Order: sequence, then C-alpha cells, then structure tokens
Amino acid sequence: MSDDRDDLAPRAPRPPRGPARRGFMALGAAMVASPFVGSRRTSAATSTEVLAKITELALEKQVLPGHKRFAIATAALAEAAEGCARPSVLRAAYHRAFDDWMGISHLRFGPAEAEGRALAIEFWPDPRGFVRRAVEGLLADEDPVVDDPEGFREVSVAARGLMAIERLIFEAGAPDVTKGYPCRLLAAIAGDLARTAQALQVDWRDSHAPDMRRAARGEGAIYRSVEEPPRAFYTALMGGARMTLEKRLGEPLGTWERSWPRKAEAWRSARSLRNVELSLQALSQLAECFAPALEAKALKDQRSGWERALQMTRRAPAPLDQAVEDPGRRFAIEAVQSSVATARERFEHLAAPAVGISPGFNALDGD
Amino acid sequence: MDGNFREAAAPESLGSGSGWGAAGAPAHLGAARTPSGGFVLVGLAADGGERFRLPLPDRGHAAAVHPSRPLAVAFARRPGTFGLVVDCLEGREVARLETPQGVHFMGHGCISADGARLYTPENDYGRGRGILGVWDAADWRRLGEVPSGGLGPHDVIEMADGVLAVANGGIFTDPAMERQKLNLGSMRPNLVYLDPDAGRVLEAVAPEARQASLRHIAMRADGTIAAAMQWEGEAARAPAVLALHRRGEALRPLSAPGDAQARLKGYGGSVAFSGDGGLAVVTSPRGGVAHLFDVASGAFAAQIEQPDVCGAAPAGPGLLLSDGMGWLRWIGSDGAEVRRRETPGLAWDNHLVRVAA
Repeated sequence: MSDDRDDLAPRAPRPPRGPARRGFMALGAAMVASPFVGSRRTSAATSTEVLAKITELALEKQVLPGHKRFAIATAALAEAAEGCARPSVLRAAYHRAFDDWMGISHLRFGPAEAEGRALAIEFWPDPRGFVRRAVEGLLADEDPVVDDPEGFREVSVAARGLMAIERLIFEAGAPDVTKGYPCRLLAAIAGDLARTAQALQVDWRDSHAPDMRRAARGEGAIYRSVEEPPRAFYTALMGGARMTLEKRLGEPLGTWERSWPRKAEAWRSARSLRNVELSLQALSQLAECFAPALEAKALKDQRSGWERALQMTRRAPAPLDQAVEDPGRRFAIEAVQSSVATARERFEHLAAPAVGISPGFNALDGD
Repeated sequence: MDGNFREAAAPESLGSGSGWGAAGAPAHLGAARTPSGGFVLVGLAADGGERFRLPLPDRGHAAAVHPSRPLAVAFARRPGTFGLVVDCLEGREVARLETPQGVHFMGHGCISADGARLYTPENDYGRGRGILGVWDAADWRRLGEVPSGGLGPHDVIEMADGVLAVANGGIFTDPAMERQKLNLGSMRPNLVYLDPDAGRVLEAVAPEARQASLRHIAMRADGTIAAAMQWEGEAARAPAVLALHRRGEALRPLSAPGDAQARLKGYGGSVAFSGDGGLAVVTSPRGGVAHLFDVASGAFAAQIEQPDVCGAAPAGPGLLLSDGMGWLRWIGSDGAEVRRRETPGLAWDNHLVRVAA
C-alpha cells in the first residue's frame, strides 16, 4: 500500500525539477520575511482579492451553513435516541444526519482533523470490521461507559459515529434499541456524535473561519497567507473526489472478476449511491467557489464535468451493492466512476494553477 | 546505478579496519524523492556534495547508523516493512530486513554503541501493541522483540548506559486503514526509558497535553533528550511541540514567545541538537519554519524561515536543515545561517541523520 494513498493527505503532484522549484517560490511567497524570496506575488496571476473571494464563498456557501446543519441534525438524532424512539423515527433522523454529513465530509482538515473527529463521525472504510467488533463488544459486556459522556470519548473510535449507529438500527438481527442496554448504547453514541458535530461547528465558526478571513489581510495565525485557505479547500476537494472515486465506487466495484458489495459505504441503510450523489453535489458546490479565479470557458468546462457526473449518478441503478454484482447493471456504476474521474481531472487542471498549488512534500504528508 | 563507478570510487579494501574514518564516508544520510517519483537514500559529504544515491523500494524515512563499520540501515516510511542495510562507502545494499507478519517498521531505528544490536520501533498491529524489534547487527538476524511501553513507538535512541529512550507517539494505526489514526480519543503518548535486556520500563514521562504525539527524539552527549511533538487537537489550542528531558526530572516544554509559536502549527517534524550541544531545533514543515532554543536557559534563540523544512541533524558545531523543495542549509552554533546549497530535483524527506561524528 502506498503512503500517498491517505484520505487525509491527498497526494502531492510529483515534482519534476521545474515545478519543485516553482513550488518553492510559491510557498516562499507566503512568507514576507523569508530570506529566500524577493517578490511578494508568485502564484499565477490570481490576485489577493480573488483568493479572498474564493475563501469567502467557500465559508458562506458551504462550510458555515453545512456545519450548522450537521450540528442541528445530529442534535435531533441524539434527542430521538435519548428517548428510545421508535426505529422508524431513529432511521429518519439518522438519514437526515448522514445527508448533512455528506455535505461537509470532504472537509477533512483543520477542525475535522483535530482529535480525529472525521473518523469518529464516520468510521469508514472499515476493512477489518472494527465497527462490528467494537459495537458487539460493548453490547456483550453491557459496558457502563455508555452512562459517562467523557468516558465514552475514549471508547474505540469504531464504536462512535454514524456507522456504529447504522449497525444498531439497520443490521438484521440487531438488538431491540427501544429499551434496555441497546437503547442506552445508542443514546451514548448519538449524544457523542452530536457533541462532536457541535465542537466541529464551533471550531469552524469561532476559530478557523475568522482566521481564514484574517489570512486575506495577512493576519491569520492558523492560515498565514491569503493563498492558504483556497489551497486547503482545493486539497480537500481533490481528496473528497478521490474518496468517492476510489472508495465509494472503486471498492464495491472491485474487478470484473470479483466485486465487493459489502465494501459499499453504508449499504445496510441502502445509502451507498445516495452518498455518491450527495458527495458529488458537495464537491461541485465547493468547486463553484473557485469560479472567481476561472475564465468563462474554464468555468463552463468545470461545471459541465460535475453536472455530467451527477447526471450519471442519478441515472444509475440503486442499490449500489447489488448493481455491482449484476453484469447488466454494473456498467452504469463504472460509467459513474469514469464521469467522476473526468470531473476531478478538469477541476485539477483548471483550478490548481489558479491557486498556485504545488504542495510541500513534508508539509502535506508528514510523519 | 552504475556499479562499476561505485566500486571504482570506493577504497580498495573494506576490512574490519576500514570504518567511518575512511575517505569517501558521507557526513549525513537523507531519504529523498527524485523528479521521476522514485525514492532514494542519499549520502552527503560535509559540504552537501552527493557521495552516493541508492534507490529505495518505496518511500524512506530515517536511518540507523553503525557506530564503527561504515554501514547504515535505511527504513521504510511507516507502514513499510523493509530495512535496507547500506554500505555507505560503496553506496550499495548489503542486506535487507523484513518485519514479521502483522508488524511494520515505523521508519526509525538505532544500533547499539557496541555495534551488536539494532533496535527498531514497530507497530504490532495484529496484537494492538507497540514493540521494539531486536536484531543482530552483525548478520542482521531478528533476535526477538520487547514491548515499547506504549502505542505507536516511533523513534529510539540508545543512551550511554545501554538504556533505550523510546518515543511512543501514542497513536494506533492499522495498515488496512491506511495511516488513519484510530485512537485519538484515548491516546497516551510518552517518553519511555527501558532496559532492553529485561524488557522493563525504568521510567516514563508523558506530555501534559495528551494529544501531543511525542514521536521524535534526539540526544545530547550528556543524556539530555529533546522531543518533538505533533498536536492532534484543535489548532488554536496547540501547546509547545518541543520539550527537553533528563532522567528523573519533569518534561520541560519550550515555546517561542507571542505569535511566533503559532508558526509551528502544532507540528514538530524533526528534532536535533547542534553539534556543540548548545542549541536544540524543532522543524515544522507545515509552518515552513524551524525554531532554535538555547538548551541551557530554554530561551527562544531564533526562527529560521525555510519552506517545507523538516530534516535536522547536527553538523560541525551547528546544524544542517533540509527541505522538500531541495535545499540544504547550515546553521552555526550561534543560530545564524552559515551557508546553503541547492540539491536540484531532490525533495528531502522527513529526516537527516548524521553518520560521522
């Protein structure tokens, strides 16, 4: 397995001699006092105003409202779980929360990276079956940690978040969650999820979003230059596209000889294809925030890429985990995959130069 | 690689008398990425000139240096499973280590001062524990393993009395989950001193902020340890990422004053003492800066601006820093830059290792 295949740290472009040098200068430009650089501006012709505008659009259109929605949806799910609600009520609240998560799940940096929140919200992919083991372990032991919110933060991360909840309310043979220990466990997971979502929202609202705005004036503490926030969004978008391409679609598709329906995301709750669609919506929404840096033709090209991918997804036969096994329907999922690849390539090709992307080897992908 | 050229460039004999003093020995080793996307281990002369370049099977990380023979072991970046024993005069591979099933290297290791053993921090993910692999440094057989005293052991140094200082980053990963951090809610990083023969922990200290993954260490001749940490909590609440420690004492965190500390972005990538032991450096590739501190007083000494800086090692009385953009910079014992050199096409990876004192 290659180190570069890390969902949290999308691959840096291979820097041949020329680009490595350019990257050096581009990053150097962010540091006024750097002894290495003489000029202030380097990254293409993108102005400070345009870079600040991209950031502002991303915050206003996606980041801030998206996190607020997710916090509200998880609070509602926690309330339903707290009252040991009927399964139909729980399931509706779960779907609502998952929908809202898909609107922001690609933003896996900063507040989502802190304390491992993204993984605690959705523990997936799960090739080792950690979620099953963790949930079954708590059920078997009737572990009293469920009554201690602080303590629950320290249980296995696989026992937290949406995938653990899915297992409790969708898995055939799951225990009755309307009473007893299973109810307390569900309430604990949902309560923990709501607190995580709340902390995520607060960190964006009070810390990262204001800092990104200050960065436009060169006054940020977390983001040091006007280029940094758009680069963070760019990297998140590329990582999200790769997640959809390689994990949400690629994992269940497997190979022609062997598909892996159980590797589909959230197949128990029949959300696999819906998640693909919602992720593409979120990615295209974020891509649209880069419009101020693009010329009319480029903007049109990049929009049509996402539109086509969304169209293919809406036409594809659900459920995904069954379609990949059916030779007659499988091709439609493969078509979705190739349309996502095209959309991603277009965005990469058009937006990367605009924000002067040439990530540092160590900075992006440390150890 | 042009084997003939390498042999011609090496001394005639590499018998037991031919140690690090031989002509042609590099001063530092570093892993790097090449323009074609390949990975190499590079031997550097004291002036930064390239002594050799050896292809690696995959991305490298750090290396362990043999105290008397001109050998080093280059390790795969986690979760890699290879260790390459390299003849540093000839610049060629002489042996290869493989971890047992269910275990991978963490990218670091050290060879004991008597040249007998190699210790390698490893993730025993099958059993969910951290271990140190113990290898024979003469024939490179695996002799066994001891518990590391924590999860995610990353770096190890042998001290003068044979005790091992181990940085347990506290983070559990499983290669099937690609480098994702699986226990940030319950992580407990520490710096452990252990007796490798008895496999017993003699002393353990933990950072106050337990989401500060303490995972790289350097040692001064007097046994003072410098530890670099990587903050896994919210950026705005990042604590110090460098600490000093002496056995029997408390960890001594070092921060830069005011806004300067925020430049590190809560991320200490590498740590080193200057050659004269007067300075400690922590690098932050994410912040594009290195911070220097006076070891005696703990005072902040200087901030070096260097995009994507990560590698750090003693060089002469001062320090050598490397970065992913292809630069080497020498810093004097006063904290000021002495000189710099570009190494075109080489993206220096996380660590530099000094091979000859």
